[in-house]
Amino acid sequence: MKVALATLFTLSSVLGHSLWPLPITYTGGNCTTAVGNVPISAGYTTSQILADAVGRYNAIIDKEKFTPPADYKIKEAPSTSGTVAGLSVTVNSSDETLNLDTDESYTLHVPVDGQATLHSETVFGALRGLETYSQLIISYGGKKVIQETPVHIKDSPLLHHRGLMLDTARNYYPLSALKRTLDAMSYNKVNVFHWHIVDAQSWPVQSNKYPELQAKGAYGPDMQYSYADVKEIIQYGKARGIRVIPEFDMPGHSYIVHESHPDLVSCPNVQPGWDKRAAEPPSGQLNIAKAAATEFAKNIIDEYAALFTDEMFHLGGDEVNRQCWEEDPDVQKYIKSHPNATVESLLSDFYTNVHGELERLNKTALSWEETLFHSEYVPPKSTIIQTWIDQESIPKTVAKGYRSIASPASAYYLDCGHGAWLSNFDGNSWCDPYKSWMHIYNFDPFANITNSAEKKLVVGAEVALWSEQSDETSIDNYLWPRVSAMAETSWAGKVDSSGHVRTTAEVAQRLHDQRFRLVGRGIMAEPLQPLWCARNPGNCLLPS
Amino acid sequence: MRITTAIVGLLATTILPSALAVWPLPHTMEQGSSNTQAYWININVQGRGSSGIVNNAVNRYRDIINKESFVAPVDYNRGILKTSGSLQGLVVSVDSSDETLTIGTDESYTLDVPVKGQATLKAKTPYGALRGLETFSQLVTSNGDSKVIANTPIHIEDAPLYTHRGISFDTARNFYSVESLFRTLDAMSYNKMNVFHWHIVDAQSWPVESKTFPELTKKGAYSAKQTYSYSDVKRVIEYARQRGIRVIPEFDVPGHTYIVGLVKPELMSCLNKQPNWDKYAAEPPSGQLNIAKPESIEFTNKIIDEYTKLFPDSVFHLGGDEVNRNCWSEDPDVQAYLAAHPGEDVESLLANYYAKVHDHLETTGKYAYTWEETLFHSEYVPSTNNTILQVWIDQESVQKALAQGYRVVSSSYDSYYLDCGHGAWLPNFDGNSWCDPFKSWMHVYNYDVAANVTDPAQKKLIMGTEVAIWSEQSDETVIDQRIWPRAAAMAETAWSGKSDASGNVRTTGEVATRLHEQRFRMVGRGINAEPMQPLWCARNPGACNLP
Repeated sequence: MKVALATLFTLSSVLGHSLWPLPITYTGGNCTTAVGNVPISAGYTTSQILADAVGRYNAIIDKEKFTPPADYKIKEAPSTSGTVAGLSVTVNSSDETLNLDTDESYTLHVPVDGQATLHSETVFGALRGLETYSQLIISYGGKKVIQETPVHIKDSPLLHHRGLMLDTARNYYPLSALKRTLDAMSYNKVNVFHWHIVDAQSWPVQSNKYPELQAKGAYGPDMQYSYADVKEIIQYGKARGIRVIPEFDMPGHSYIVHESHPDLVSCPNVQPGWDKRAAEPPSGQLNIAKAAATEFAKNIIDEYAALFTDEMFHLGGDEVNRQCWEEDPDVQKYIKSHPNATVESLLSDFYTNVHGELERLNKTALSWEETLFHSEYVPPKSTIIQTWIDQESIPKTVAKGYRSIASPASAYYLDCGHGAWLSNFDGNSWCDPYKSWMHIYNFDPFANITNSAEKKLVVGAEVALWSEQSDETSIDNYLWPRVSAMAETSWAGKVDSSGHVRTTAEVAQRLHDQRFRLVGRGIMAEPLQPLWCARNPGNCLLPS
Repeated sequence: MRITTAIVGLLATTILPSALAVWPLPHTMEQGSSNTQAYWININVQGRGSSGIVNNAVNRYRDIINKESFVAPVDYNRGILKTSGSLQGLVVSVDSSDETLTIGTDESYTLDVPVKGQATLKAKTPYGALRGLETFSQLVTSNGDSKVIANTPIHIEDAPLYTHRGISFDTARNFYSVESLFRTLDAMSYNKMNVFHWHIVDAQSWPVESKTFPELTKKGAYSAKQTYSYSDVKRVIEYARQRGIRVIPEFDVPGHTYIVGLVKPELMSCLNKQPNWDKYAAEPPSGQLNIAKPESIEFTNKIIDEYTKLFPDSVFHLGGDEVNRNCWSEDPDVQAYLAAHPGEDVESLLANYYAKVHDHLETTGKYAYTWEETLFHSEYVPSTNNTILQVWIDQESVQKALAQGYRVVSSSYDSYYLDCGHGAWLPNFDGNSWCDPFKSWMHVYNYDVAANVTDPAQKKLIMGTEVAIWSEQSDETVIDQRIWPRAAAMAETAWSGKSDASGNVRTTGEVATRLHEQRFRMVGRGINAEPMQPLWCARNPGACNLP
């Protein structure tokens, strides 16, 4: 029996397995096992999540005929030494709480002959193990086998927050596109859907407190998310072990509120000078001099903290523009009559109020890094800071004792490199160039953090798709397989236990496999290379 | 009645309803201020009407127009337009039933839509009728439960600036199904593009059936399913012809031919050198036809014989790009040949190779189409009368080629390579694509093939333009978004030119509203064209411009 630690680069070529993301520990034998007709079974489970997942993976495995592109010449399965008589799934705990602390570990054993077993602490660990099991099965000439049995996998993620942020406000995505995205996330063990649900351009989500927000702010009646839609997405996510964290970005990025509440918004859609008042058109920020604006923000938090069940709630706080307020007559008047007040103190007060409201509701605030670094407000230590501006913001955040989620624009912004999008500007995107999967894979959220206590504060990584130039016509290929690159480094880390840092050249073959697997499962992931390269590993490398 | 010559900037900057949002912009357009109601729109062919192309197109557009329920994004709030009359269908009349489709085929048409009564479309050829039908379809929008043509009466006189408006499409790095090619041809017709340059084989695969060398497809296609049979090719050619699109095949020689080595290794030099392929080729796998061997020339000529028959167009592309000298100077056969022939060198061998294959093509009665290196980076001198040069490396090559009397199509990579800006694709290289950055639709639109060309005789030698999609990082999962709406940007500049008769150069800020409309129209017709901006910007023209 060959023993291999997960992160040996030879895993896929030598062990014949094409798992993505790579498990943490793995041992494989030298037999080949046929996959029989016995389905996966969870016994008499009371867990609907588990029962559904077993049904789902039975259907996937039944339908899937996956052959790694590099094995295209193999027309006949190798002779087998036994048959897998189904997979038995057992879960220790009946607790189905899904949060940052959820245990996603699992143990998977596939013998040379007989029943395979999957054991986990929680049902969510079982989901991860089921995905791994499905990826072990390879089809050659119509026959399904698992290679290099017996297989023993003991697996758990490095980071507990492995996310995708999707902006559904610049352009709208129908539920079908969101569900397809959640499917694809589950195939990559990505477990957080950060739903940037509203922004300056549109307010697609239903509001019971302020129905006029959606009535005037959604792009149209066919471009909305009702309460029922949101609940369906949350449910769909949870069934796949994916948390749904909503973002209601404030006080910036809120022009759309002006459509129904003009009195609450400063500098609404200033034209043509929007660039002095916002990062992009249309400009508009909640008027921090008005108590009614703070009240509005708190009511939004109250409403959606109830609708979205996750323990975390994203309050935005990015790209706040000072000039927008300095020029606002109400702000000017307020500051005049309150000699100690400034725009900075007003902003700080606003944050104190809204973060305080969220705390009152027992939710943890997520917030873009500007709240910590570019305002006078001092967030409570429970706040999780999402960094994007500068990779160095991660070490700076944890040095201050805050938990950090890494979304550096320079590595993780999937919209970059698609040219400028202002129609009269023939230039590059602000965050050019395009972030290739290699570039994403090479990013290390732990870079420049040496203190082990500080390392623990790096709780997650999230790629982001801002939707100025995407909608449902293009989402699959914007996301995949690039999200997969982050999915592996955040699950398996970048380094094996012997200190070897995996290179993109080593993992390319497995990522090809994963890309073709995704396409087979209905995700329009884009190709990494000519098929010739996928079939001839190592033949499309840049010579050193 | 307001009179607007196509290219007036006013048109797009003034916020009008979508009546004039035709893409590409017609050459001359007059519009009124009435609106004409339409329900089910019938289209009939008047007169001789013996052209199957016209009859088929009429059926196609009748379906498109009557099925389509389109309102421009900018008009999302316009409500129901009041109408002053109703349309009694469209009558199409075509002077000639000659279906010849070639360089210079007349694509002009005249279209009249009255306030009430019958609209008329007149063209000299069936292909002009196709262009007019597309224009007519773009005039019709949804108006509550019925349809409307706004701003009638409308009088349009239209003809293209350039005769060659194409897409170069690589089906060898990755394979595309015939269905995705059909979809691309549909989209091209919606943009009045008329050349599908089919870069059908390359180093990585040989998907097309060969009757002369069946092993090429058997060993060189990615799989039996990833092939184009003779019948597939004929279906593509016919599908294109029905849409007024010529199919020009490219069999790229002598470089980019590794795949031939799977079948005829004895004809090849520097086959898949690893790991240092970069000394022998622009990308892996390396391999070029061995120009020291007469058998290579014979092989090439047989390929020409076979495929000039399969592809009926009068133009045939012989490639000739990215030829690597090192590949040959290190080849033992080349070395032995040169040792035995003291007056010769690699350059003379290459020039001889080109002379033989270009001469051979000439015997088939076809025009050679070739990448610019054949002229600028080899000693071979192509025939100026016949050879069409495709420029890609350098915009100045356009002027140089024209000055030497060649007909030119420009695919300047710097503006027209749609694959650029997607990151490197060699997995151990975390860098940018060689032709970074991404070519935005604004960048594509701003390119002017005629820049710095002043001599009218030289201008006449500009045949047109082609955007190119090289498929290292694309296949049918992504093709629509990679091509559209960026190819539409080129389509307008190639059809309507970049400036109006008075010399006003259209800006991307002005045309954006119309291109948004075209993008949404294409999405409605089943083409997954990517969005240019947030929908908010499409609805609020000018609000997303850089101050």
